[in-house]
Amino acid sequence: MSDTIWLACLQALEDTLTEQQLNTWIRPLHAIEETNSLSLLAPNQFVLNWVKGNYFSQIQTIVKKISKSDDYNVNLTVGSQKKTTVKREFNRNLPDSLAERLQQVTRTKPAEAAIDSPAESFVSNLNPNYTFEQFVEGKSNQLACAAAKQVAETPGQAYNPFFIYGGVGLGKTHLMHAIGNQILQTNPNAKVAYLHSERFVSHMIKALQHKMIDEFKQYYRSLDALLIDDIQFFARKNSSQEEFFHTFNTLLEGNRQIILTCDRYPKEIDGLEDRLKSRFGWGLTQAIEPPELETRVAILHKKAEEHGLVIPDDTAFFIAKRIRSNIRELEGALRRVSATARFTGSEINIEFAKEALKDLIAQHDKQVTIENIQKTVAEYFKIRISDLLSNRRSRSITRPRQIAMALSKELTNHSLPEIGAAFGGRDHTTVIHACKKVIELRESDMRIDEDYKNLYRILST
Amino acid sequence: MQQLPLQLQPKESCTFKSFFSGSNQLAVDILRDIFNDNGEQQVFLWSAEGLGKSHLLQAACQLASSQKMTASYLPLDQMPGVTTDILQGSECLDLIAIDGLDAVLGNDEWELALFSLINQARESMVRLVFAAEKPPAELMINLPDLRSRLSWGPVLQLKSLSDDEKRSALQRRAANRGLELPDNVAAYLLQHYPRDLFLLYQNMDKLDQASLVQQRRLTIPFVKEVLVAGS
Repeated sequence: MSDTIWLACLQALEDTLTEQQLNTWIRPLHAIEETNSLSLLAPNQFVLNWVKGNYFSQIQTIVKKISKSDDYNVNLTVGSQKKTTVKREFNRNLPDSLAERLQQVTRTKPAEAAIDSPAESFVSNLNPNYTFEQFVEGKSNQLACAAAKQVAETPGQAYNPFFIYGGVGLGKTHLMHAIGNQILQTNPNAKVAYLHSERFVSHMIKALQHKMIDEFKQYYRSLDALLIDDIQFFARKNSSQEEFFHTFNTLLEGNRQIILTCDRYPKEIDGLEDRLKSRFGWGLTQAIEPPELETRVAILHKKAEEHGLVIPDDTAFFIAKRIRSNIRELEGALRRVSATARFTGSEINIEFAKEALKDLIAQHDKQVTIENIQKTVAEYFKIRISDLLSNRRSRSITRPRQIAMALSKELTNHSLPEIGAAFGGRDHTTVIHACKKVIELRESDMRIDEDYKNLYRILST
Repeated sequence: MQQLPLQLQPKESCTFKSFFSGSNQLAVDILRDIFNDNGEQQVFLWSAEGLGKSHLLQAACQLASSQKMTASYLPLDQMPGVTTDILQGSECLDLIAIDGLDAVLGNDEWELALFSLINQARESMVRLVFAAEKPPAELMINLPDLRSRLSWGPVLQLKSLSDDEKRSALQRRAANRGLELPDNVAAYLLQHYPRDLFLLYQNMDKLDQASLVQQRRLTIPFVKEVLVAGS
């Protein structure tokens, strides 16, 4: 369809509006031209109101002039014609999804805009790239991964609900999608829905506003597997919790699979009803820990492969050693290296990566200092920093001191003599001893292992 | 009698072509490439004020528009009273460029809305470009989920131009206006006035206007006269 009128109108507007006005209010408009009309679709009411109040009459005048017709109509509504290609990939040819329908009712779409609507599709929202094959297993996630595979093989039976928790950017969502994709691969007719808890809440609010709450309930309660991400966002949303509680019960009674992720252990979610907390613990609760160095390296290789890149081992080690906080940041670093290589036509090697990530590494080194580790560890164990640096040998002091030394070795690039010196002028052999001791203790004492992991998480995110 | 110039000054459009990249070529290349198959879905730019973040974000919007795509530029630090409603329906757009991100951080409602925006944008392959004064790791963000998501794509710092680069940038801007900015005058501007490129450009615009009015070439005495009078 020709879009010459709108292009000409845009050009005319470019002469009168500032660059910012164009970019903020005019360029978000999607234009659909018909023989005698131009429909402008604004992404939301906010943009619509602003355009209507400030530019619409100008647009109408310009369009009438260009079209040389007084009968040429210009309509301005909220809506969209864009149906993303990715969504189409997710389409499993199953019945219409409530999510999609709710999106449609909340927008006043002109008839033209609905042409492209995949009305008869079920949008599971699963990302097809998140599969078990793409998931990199390591010590930090192998238990969760094994359990996830079992859930995928026998949905609704093995572990229900399956609750995955851990810090940000550690692969919880990936694992969740992998289960969903596996369920669909085994049974393409299964109704699997993935959504973020925020989306569940907003769907519910929209359903209430549009008097579609029965459809909402029916939709969620008819699923074969419900995957809700970041359940912590349900905190303090009482009516959503109430609705989710009933959905949860219905699905569980019908042996439908429920998979939830959260940034913390169910019992630690503030603002969540106790009955939900306790139900979340009915099935299997698995933690995902920050990946250790080897896993980070493997993740980098995998991500590089996805982007058709090859990075040498030493380069992957270099990046993984310096970017420790989470996988998203690791991916961001890799994207940065690959983009730099692409645009400069350079080969990726360790020197190149060092240069490309110079500022990112500097930031990391700035964030995690020995002083910061000492401060955090002292606060965590409720002792004073001076105790950590002192000669005191009581266990309540030596354990935190050893943990702080081990964390300093793990999280900073300081040499062992430097670490020893920073802990009250100790020898580097003391640091080596501390690190060994912490490894032993973490294997033999669950509580120390937990403390170490908590501190690692606090310091690296 | 003073001659009044017609207001026909070329509007400085924010395009990649009009951006003097200096040592920021990588940021330009990455943004220019975002709509290609291998392009980045999310980019984060950071730097102090006046180094061209807004220009680049708007250049990306202009690029989208030139390819018949929709784009939204949201300078959150310059939109007082704007609510998170402005992010509704983002999945309909091809590009969202959020400038002045720092302005809304620390506000729980905004943080949650931005968090959801990133999730949705990833699902719908909407391109996102953020700009702030600090990198994600140093921003005052309450929501760790948002912080980690802001680091998903390349995080790039825009570097300040060297004095030589600033001189070239000024001379290029002058040339675009049909003005000649001699080396000694450019050097004078850099030595005697604020060296922030944005302010240098503002001075350049004043000089352009004054030279049109007075029909004079750009010389050091003329600069002294105009910029003192202007200040």
